[in-house]
Amino acid sequence: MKLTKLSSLAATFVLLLSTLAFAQVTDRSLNKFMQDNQKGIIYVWSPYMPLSVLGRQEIIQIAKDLNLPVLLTIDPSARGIQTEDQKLESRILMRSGVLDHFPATLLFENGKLRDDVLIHGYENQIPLTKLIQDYFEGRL
Amino acid sequence: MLTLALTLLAGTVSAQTILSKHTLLNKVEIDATPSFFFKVHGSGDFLSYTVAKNPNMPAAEGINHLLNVKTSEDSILPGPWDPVFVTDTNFMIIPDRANTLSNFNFYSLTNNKKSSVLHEAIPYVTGTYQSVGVRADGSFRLIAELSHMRHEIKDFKFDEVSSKLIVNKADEEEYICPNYSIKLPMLSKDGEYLSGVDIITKKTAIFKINDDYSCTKIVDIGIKTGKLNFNYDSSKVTYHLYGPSQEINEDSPINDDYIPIPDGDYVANIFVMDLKTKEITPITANSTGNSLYPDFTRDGRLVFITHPQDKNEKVNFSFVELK
Repeated sequence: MKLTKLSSLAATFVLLLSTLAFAQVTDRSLNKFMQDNQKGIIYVWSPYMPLSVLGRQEIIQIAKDLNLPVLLTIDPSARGIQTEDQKLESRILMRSGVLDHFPATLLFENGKLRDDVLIHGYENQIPLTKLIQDYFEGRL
Repeated sequence: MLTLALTLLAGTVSAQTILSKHTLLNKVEIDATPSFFFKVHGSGDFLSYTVAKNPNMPAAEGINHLLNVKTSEDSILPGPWDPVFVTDTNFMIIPDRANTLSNFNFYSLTNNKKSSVLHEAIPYVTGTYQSVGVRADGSFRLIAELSHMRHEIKDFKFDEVSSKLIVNKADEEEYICPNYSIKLPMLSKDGEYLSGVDIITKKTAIFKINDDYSCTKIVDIGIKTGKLNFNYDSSKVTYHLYGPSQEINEDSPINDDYIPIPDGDYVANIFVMDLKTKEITPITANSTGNSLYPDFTRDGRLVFITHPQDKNEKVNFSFVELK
């Protein structure tokens, strides 16, 4: 009985720890997301860049239209913002320059970040859909 | 140690650090937390910025403000975002609604800039990211982005007697740089150049606008930067760039382990590039907090916004004299 209780507690602790560990988009969680999904979109937005807020809803629709997963992550400097999106802490993404303007849209393929794709700035839904398709279909 | 040395040498405002050879002339604090985007009037006497309607609820549409730097008087401007001065004139160009296919309205500022009068929308320029220049003949040039492949342009004048716009080719759509795919476009103050990220090279570049509105790339900045602003004679540009702050060891290998990164580890700093010599001069060396979207006044002062990491500190606008 005692052992079962301890095991149960340990399991809860591990689950809680893993939940906390992925409360932000870290290098680890980013890599896991890309490995699990192989191909998709990453969208970085900030409450301090209005067009990136607007684009957030649109990228969700674009991902749905293209049948791709999308990882939404928020500016690490954002505070007190009501959102379910995880805060960006991935150094891989920061090193790639995502912070220089919001929104930043990236693509990953074969489980890895495409280092040739970093779209800064808002783009309307139709041209952005085409741009993403152009990248994935090798036209860019 | 390097951080400490820089702090001691420089004019330090909290963890925002202006490098010592430049002079911090003025720091204007505001109580609100505006969006990162702001503009400075060419005189340096006014700032425009946008504040969210609800600071805790992300939303695109905000409230535009005009701040008198000398008197601290703050007025409300029309429009949902991006209130842009027509350089150092008495005019502004502001999106007409919270829509990414909005038109752009032309306003006069009145009553010592405490209020604005709407004249009309500039025809055949829609989209986002508008920027405006004043050309040598006194005409205005407005551009905006419809997509990375399509940027609209219009040249026009304002007739003070009739209060009407006199628009060149008012019934036609005209496109600038149709031969390039560009993001983050910014027109120079004199309307003759465009800066932006070339989608193909993935680097920020400067383009000369030809008479037929095609563009010729004249400078490759060599890296991708934040939005680039020009000074008034187009001899310099300024931009922000995020990078690791001094405290972290950027050489540490990236690995798959969970690496908690303190919020201040990547910070935005300000740079100025001389377009003739290509020399890049750092202006700030922040240990925390982000200095962003720098722009020039007509007399060459550099103005930028800083969002401090410590949210108990206020957002501020720094006016810097460059050495």
